[in-house]
Amino acid sequence: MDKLVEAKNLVTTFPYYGKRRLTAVDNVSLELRRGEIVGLVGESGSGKSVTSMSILQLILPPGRVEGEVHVEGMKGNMLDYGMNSKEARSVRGGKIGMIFQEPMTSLNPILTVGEQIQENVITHLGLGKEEAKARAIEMMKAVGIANPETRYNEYPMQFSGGMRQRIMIAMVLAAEPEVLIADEATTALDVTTQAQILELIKDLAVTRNLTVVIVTHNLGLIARYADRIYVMYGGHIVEAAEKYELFENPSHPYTRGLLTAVPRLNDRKDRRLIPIAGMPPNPAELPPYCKFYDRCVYREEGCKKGKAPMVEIRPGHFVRCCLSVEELDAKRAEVEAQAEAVPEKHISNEVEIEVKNLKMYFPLYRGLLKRRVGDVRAVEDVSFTVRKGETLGIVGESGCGKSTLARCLMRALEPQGGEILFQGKDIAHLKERELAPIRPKITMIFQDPFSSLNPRQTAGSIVGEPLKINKLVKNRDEYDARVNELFRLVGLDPDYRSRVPREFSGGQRQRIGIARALASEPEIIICDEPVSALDVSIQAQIINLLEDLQSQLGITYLFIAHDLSVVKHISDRIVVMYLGRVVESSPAERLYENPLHPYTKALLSAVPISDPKVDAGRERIKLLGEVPSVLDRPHGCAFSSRCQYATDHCRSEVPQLRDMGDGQKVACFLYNN
Amino acid sequence: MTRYILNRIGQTLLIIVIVSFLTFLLVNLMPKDQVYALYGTDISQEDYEILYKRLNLDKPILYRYGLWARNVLRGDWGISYQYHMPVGEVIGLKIGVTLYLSVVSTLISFPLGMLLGIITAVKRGKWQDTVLTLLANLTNSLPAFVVAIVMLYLFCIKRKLLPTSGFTFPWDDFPKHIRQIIMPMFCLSLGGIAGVCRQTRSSMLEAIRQDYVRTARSKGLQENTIVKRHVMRNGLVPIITLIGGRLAHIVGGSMFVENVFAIPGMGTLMIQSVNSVDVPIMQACVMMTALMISVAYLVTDLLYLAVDPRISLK
Repeated sequence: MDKLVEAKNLVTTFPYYGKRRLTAVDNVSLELRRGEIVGLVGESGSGKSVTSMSILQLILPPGRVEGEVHVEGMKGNMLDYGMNSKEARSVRGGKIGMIFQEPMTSLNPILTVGEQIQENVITHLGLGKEEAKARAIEMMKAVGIANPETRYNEYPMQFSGGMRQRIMIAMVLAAEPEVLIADEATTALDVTTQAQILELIKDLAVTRNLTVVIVTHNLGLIARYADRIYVMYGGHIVEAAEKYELFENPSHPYTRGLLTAVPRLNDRKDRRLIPIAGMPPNPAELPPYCKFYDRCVYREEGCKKGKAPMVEIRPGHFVRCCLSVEELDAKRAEVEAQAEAVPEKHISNEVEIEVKNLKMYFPLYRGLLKRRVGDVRAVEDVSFTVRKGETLGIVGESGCGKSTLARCLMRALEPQGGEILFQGKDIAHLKERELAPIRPKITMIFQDPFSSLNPRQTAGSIVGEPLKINKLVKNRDEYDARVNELFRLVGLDPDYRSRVPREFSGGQRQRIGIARALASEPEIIICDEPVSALDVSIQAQIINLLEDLQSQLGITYLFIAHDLSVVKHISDRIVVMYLGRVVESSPAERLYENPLHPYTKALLSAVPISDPKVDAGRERIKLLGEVPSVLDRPHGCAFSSRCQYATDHCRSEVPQLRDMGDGQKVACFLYNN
Repeated sequence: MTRYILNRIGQTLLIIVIVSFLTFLLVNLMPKDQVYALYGTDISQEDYEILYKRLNLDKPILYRYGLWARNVLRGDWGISYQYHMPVGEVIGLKIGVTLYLSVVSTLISFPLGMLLGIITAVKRGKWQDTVLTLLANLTNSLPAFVVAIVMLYLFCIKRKLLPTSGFTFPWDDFPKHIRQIIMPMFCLSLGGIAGVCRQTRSSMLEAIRQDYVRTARSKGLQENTIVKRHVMRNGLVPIITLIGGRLAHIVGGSMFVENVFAIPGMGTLMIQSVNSVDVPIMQACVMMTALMISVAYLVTDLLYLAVDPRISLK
């Protein structure tokens, strides 16, 4: 296959303290061949985005790129031309197009989308205005935008996130590039939208013989879409191979670690995640020897001697490790034997919390006098029960009402209707004073470990605050002892009590958040997306910690997340929500084996499994359109507008949850007989 | 969109009504005697009583406000206590001068300030940026009257290069106009140029950091096009919002500058009217200023509407 782009020994540095420079990309060599889909995978700080931007010469001074970039059809090293040269510009956008992570901010808000697509056509294809417009409209049609002629004159804010990403793709492809780099292009989107966009990219790649680079942290996406994979860590490419080869024979300790750290949809229920110890690398503080040394379970003294070379262990399979394949494989059994068993759970038959027909509406005001014109029905008629000691997972895409539900259960909001029975007592409409004894029993862990901790409070006082507020300790000594105990419980050194949140890493901060939630000895902890802001290797640490705490303390969890693999891993039962309603509830295993509701099926099929062989054998269900706004929820079944089985019955009447046996309930007319 | 415009116009009218009431209230609460102000202190107690009633000072303030507002709506602002002429005529002579100064000063300071701001932003970190930003910070922190007095002393009194006072409209005598206007216009616009320059710089730098600029760069556009189409258009939108506030600032500044350079404008008139308790003039001056500034804010919002599609879409 012919090489379209080849990068050799790329080194990208940025100024750091004084004269020192930090190396974000360290000696990276890679090649892109015509028509293939390449995955570039790594955690934050691995240098994957900087690598792709370096190839395009998008690194602005004082950042500096050294090495060689060769592009087919261009003479010599592209880096020698300089970033603003005619040659570099003709490659950038013309030969290699790039789409970025944030569809909300990556388009210019004050130019129409048409102008922005047209701009690319005029720059690279040299067409006149009218022809460029025709081409832009044709491209909008190709990426699946309805009424492109009218939408041509609309502004980015008139498009949803998924549609904006389509516009980005249309814009980039309008200039007929041969390579498309998608830098975390679908990370900010909902899972079903993500699947739509990636399928679109894949189809376009085939029809246009396009080379695609998918830059991501998500192993599942790579397993489903890529042909060849580069794994990056600490600015290095640590492993490179064809997809099947890589997933069958992962060789670098980091790749192996990643694969066992990430929960998968097809995991057995009792699989314990094996986290990668330590923290993701900070590019400013990397050792001069193997970057992964500090976190590596295979490490030996010899690894510290110098940088490991890239070795071809099998044809087309490269690994950068000081140990040989034989050494690595010999150690593998030893390493994997250390995996712990999943801690035992104690689920009693006692009902801890029962929600009956919960409704939460937000008023909608309009006009000068702020007249109430309607309601946003964020949570509508939601019922479920949670037993003591179990974990109930709540999944759904953005806007499905899962966070509002959490806030109602916390009684941060007072629901409009329905009951919340906590240990048999309805707390839905209690006054603040009556709630006081219940507050410490229900606590919460938040999504963002950065903004949910007060930056000026010390870690100790953050964790100790609930003790003081709820008067759970008698004196200073008791307080200190309890705070220290909580720190140890979540795996933090009590010596860190006087530090402020800024001095902790993301994972450590989430541990502080967990310690705070544990302080008042709660019966229930509501975890609202507790791991979604963390790097994959850290996610496993936190998930394991939550599992351990549950088995030690017998806490009940309500685990809210959009990541189905994580929810399935940790939950005993799962509730699937769509636009404020529960569409299905089921034991976790059963939901994966036998999903009933069409939405659940689509949601499951949109989540790729990080094992290409298993993933290839799964049924794919494509959804029509995007999640509608809660404001214009379709009549009848909320899902009817996107469901391929929808009948007139579905569009006129709301289906109720029906018991299907084995603890599974579904709200769908398909199962009415 | 039409709704938005009507809404804004309604708001402007409401503001003017509220300002008119507050002005009336404040002026009438002044601890000065209007009867003495109008007729001098050499009047008998009987005359004083009669005149007090004639000026309706015995009536409640709301009644007097209603009366005044009705007359104003008919175009009758009252008779100046000091000039014994209808207020409309007195103000008419002066407002043109102030309006001319304010508008010309705005027209000078905005384009110039924006230009300097763009230069500092595009050349950020280079010497052009360092020098211009330092100058902008320096002049921005000097009050207009200090600059005016120092300049007057240096160029008009010591060097005798320019006249110290007076004002002529350009259509009456152009060379004389230029010689007279240089100093006041410089003092009036300096703060504006510096302020606009600083704001433009930070707004441009904000725009340069945006993701869509990176997108533009990834399209392979020329650096020039990126700055013009993507950075400048976004970066200059917030500058438009400054026009209203700047104009208010300039009208305030012209009070001092008119006084220092003895320009017969509304600023001079206003200060005179306060000193001589010329209530009708005072009210009219404040109302005119409020009207000018409200209209400036209205125009600002309408401009914004034209430039930023996001507003009309909401």
